[in-house]
Amino acid sequence: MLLVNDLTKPWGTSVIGAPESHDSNLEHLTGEAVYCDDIPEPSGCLHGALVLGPATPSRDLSINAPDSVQLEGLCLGHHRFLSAADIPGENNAGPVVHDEPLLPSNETSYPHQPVGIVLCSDRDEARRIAREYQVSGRPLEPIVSTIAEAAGAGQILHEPLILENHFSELSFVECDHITECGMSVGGQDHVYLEGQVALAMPSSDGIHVVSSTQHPTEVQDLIANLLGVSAANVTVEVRRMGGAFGGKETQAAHFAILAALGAHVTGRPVKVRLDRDDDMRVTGKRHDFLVNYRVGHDAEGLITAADIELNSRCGWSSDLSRSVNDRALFHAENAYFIPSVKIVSNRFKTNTVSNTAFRGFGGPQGMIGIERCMDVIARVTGKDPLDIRLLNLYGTSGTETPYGMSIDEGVLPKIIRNLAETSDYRNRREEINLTNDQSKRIKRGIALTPVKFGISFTASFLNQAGALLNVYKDGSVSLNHGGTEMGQGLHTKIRQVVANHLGIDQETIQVTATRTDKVPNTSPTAASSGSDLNGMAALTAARKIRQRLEIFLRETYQTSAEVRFSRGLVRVGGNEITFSELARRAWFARVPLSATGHYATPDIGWDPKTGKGRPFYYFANGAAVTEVAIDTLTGVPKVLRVDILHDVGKSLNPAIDLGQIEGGFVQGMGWLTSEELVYSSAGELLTHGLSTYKIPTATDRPKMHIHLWDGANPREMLYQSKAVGEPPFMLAISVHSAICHAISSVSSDSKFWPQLNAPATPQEILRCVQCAANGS
Amino acid sequence: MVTEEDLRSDIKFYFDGQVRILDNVRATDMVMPWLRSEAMQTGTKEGCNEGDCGACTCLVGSISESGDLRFSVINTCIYPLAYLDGAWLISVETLSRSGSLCSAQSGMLPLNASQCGFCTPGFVMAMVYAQITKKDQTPEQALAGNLCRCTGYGGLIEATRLAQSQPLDRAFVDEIEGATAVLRQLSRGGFSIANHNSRIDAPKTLEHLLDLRKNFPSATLVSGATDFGLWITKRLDRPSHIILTKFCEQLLLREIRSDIIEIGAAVTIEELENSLVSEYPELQEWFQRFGGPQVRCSGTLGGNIANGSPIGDSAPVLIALGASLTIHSCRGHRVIPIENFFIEYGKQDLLRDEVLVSVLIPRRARIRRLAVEKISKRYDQDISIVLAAMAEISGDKPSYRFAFGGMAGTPKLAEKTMESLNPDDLTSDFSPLSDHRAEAWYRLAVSKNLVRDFLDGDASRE
Repeated sequence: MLLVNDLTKPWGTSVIGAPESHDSNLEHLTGEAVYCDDIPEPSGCLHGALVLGPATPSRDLSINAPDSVQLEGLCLGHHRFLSAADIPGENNAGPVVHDEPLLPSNETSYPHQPVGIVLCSDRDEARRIAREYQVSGRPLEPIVSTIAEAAGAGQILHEPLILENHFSELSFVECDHITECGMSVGGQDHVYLEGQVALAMPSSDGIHVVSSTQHPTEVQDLIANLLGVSAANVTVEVRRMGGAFGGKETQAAHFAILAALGAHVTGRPVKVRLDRDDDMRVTGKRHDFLVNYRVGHDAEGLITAADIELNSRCGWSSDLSRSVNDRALFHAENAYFIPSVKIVSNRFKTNTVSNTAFRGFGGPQGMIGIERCMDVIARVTGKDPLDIRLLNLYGTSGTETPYGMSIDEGVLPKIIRNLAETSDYRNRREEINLTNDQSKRIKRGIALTPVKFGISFTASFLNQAGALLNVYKDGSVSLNHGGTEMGQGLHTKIRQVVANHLGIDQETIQVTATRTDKVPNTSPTAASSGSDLNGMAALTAARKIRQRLEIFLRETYQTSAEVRFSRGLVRVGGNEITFSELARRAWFARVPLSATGHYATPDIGWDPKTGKGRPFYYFANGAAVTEVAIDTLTGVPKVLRVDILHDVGKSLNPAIDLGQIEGGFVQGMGWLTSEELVYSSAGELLTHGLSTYKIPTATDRPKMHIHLWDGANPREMLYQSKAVGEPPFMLAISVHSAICHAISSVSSDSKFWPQLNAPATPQEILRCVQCAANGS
Repeated sequence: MVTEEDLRSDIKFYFDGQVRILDNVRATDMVMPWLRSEAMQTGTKEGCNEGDCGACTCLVGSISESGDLRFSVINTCIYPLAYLDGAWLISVETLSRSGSLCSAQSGMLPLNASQCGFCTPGFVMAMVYAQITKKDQTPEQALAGNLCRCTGYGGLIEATRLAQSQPLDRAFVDEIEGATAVLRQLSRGGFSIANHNSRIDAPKTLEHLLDLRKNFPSATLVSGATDFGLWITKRLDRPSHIILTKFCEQLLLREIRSDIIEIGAAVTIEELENSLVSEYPELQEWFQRFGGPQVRCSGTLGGNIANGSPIGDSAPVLIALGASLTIHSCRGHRVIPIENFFIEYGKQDLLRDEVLVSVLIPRRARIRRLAVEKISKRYDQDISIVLAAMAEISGDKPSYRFAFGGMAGTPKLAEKTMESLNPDDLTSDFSPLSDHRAEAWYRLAVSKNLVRDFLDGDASRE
């Protein structure tokens, strides 16, 4: 078996493939790593607090300032209130479609939508004053908060995208069975431990904003547009984020813009840092979905046709919903070939927060439905669900995706077979089925589910990146690129790439804060693309520098011999000098020691009208076997063990890749079990704090056996590596499937499969257990 | 009688090698903002500002009755600054004051236990607490009060295990010795600080406490502050006068007598393990799931009761065990069965001049069987959907006490069901609410299942 198990030995060179620790590891441990809120506040700094709109979305807003009695004991007269009227440029925070006013002037669209900001020298006082502002209006009618309500009212955000491939209703007439399954799939709050925060400082060049954002360029553009200044007058900087997961791709912008607006109006530094409850109330989440599948198959379980409907709740504005739903559609068949297929993707507009990017970006919601179909078909045909999955995998009976790309890498069937064997899936399933008959209260379940995840932004133009590499006279190197560090180890990986190419010690390379005045026009660090795109850009810059140095050396030593860069030394012919000596000499010889690099992913593009084309450069693959137990008296689940085999191509850094896989799985497990967003009937979020919204803790971690598949990216990519950020999240679908298996054992009907929605909370599980026991 | 002259008008605590003297502490001041904005030590992070994520975790050391240094692990976001009086505040910066990493940190270095790093200092502090005081705890239990959203906890669990297996490093032991010497010179409590429309009283004796309670009936009595903290950080309350119970000696008593275990109202949940769980080993899991270590180290038994929450985890257990409360005032004292204390939602049997002083818990004697089941969306550090405490009491004919949290406006006995022993009668005993934790049908269904299971004596659960 070919697995990268020995993490102590790098493959290839000494640097690429080495399990380097995160470059800020030490500072994390000592508390010295500086996040936005840790920067010493500049003198005169004001703090912003949101003034929230009514609990019911309303029109004809009136905002009443508090009187002196209400403000008694607070810094009356020393606060400033800013609203839509104070915006000098375009009142917009919509990243793609300009349908999202930063602060509404007359009408709120969702519960507690911010309508203004209070600025005050003390943060707590700003929060208190903000609460004294009374915002009222006439409630909107009707309020549409759920997918069902929006569908009933015909409230669509964008026209549906309908993708058909060789589709015909006749395929359903000709098949042996038609299996229908649908489910509701809950949303998810990001719970980045560092909440939304930005610090804006007026400077002689315009305005300098430190923002916890995945997309500094977009923050820059939106600020410039809203203030009516040029982009060159706005600099956005990000050293690190305390977690993001998509929640800071577009939605960090609002708070950075508010800070910038405050700084612009007052001429003083302004910090906006949200309290957790406000953060959860006003920022978007993972889209919740209602999915319906009608699948035709033969008696063996081979799928011949599918008619799929994906309905999502987008919230009140566009944000990234178009792309999120596109990706859901591109993953609605996950890893399975469907000869005749139609997928309808409906994007509903609701009076709720604008749902946004979240690790997987619609992919998880697309995949979970087809995985449920596999389980149901297995029940109908009396087979093991693994056999149904293997039967339908790409490469077995076909390779063409609904969007017309061919899946020819053929790695997933190998991964699945390998994992089924190493995890002892079949024996364990048999043992569990037997034991469940004996155990009254506790029932166990097991499932294997695969992931095939397309890598590239579906908005094709975003697949580009830039880097700036400066070599100083002493041989030290400053590396800057367009990607942002949110904990995923991006800077660590890119430093490895540059260190390897220049043959220098990683410690001599300083990766500096992402800044829009160093590398312009960047794409968000998202879509798992951070190291692919920025790594390639950094490699391009490093190649330029190295080429210049090689030419200089060959001229210096009058030789055409190969130049070798290794371990801080440079050798050519019989000569050897240190890299730092080379840098000094090159500078004397007036060789430019600064270079930019740019990368654009080749060979991608698709037609947004038909959904056909090549949206992805390549695919990342993986599979997980998960075993769970449920308490049939209470519905409480426990994830016991997971075995994962995941494909990251040739790993750039197995330590970091394993961390992404482990963390992604646990986050996905939370999405499907304990993390429940509960809304009131009026669309008001009731679970807006960490006391009521429960992400996994250490106890929830199952026994985990994670291995990297020893493969290589077949496409031209950074040392044959593959992206890793999002794909492992979807391995957790196996948790949901295993819980269904456990519940099914309560039923005496061998064809029973529970109608378990996500998240599988204790209540949802107990509901299904009761159905299983009652035979309904 | 305590006179004003006996009281200090400041607090003194030890931090970063110095005794800090603060005379401007307000009732609303918590430790975290002081650390980050005043002391400029920003390793302690704000994640949720309500004691649920552990990013702001620090340690507090104080001299115990026996004269040695005892540690608590706390969420500084909801820990009143005034509670630091006479104590040693240990932040992540303290650990490497000597210039080198402490063993918990250095052990963690090669384990790739951090990604974004924001939660990491809080985890380090929880690990150090486990290393000092809780070597027998599982690493998962030690970390139950800390959230990490990036990793799957693998490296963190491994690092905790490693820390628990290692002695404290020399430099930190030296810090402890230095701090102990300083703390012995400081007193705990006995201050009254008034400024900025704010007054804090920290009486040391019951007499003084009752006196304050009588003279200032509208002042807020604060015990562990795990709920009070949220009134400040979330509701943005500005209480003008608070009275702290935590320094009052009579409220800190723990006594095991022949028939009764008496526990002072200001005893923390963490301190209950020795007195209560040793008598009732069935309470081990209940204890473990009573919040994370940070909540248990702050929250008090009396606070959990007097707060009157229908979902506090102590009341159903104490009701099932047949516990009583002693309530004092300047007028005298009374003892009532704990179930009578809860009148209705938000209303307890405690007059404005009274103070809950201790809880009287019967010893094992006639309790033959006890089961406590906490149902929540997440195993650790979650508020109960339902908490069922069920006791079988031996006699000629065994009798039963079934007490529930989360099923009514108060913690309550299922009286009809106790008599009929028919789980379906829970429908008459309770009409629970639907809320964001669960729907009414679920609360009833689970309760019935648990009572049925208890009556079956079914111990088949894994």
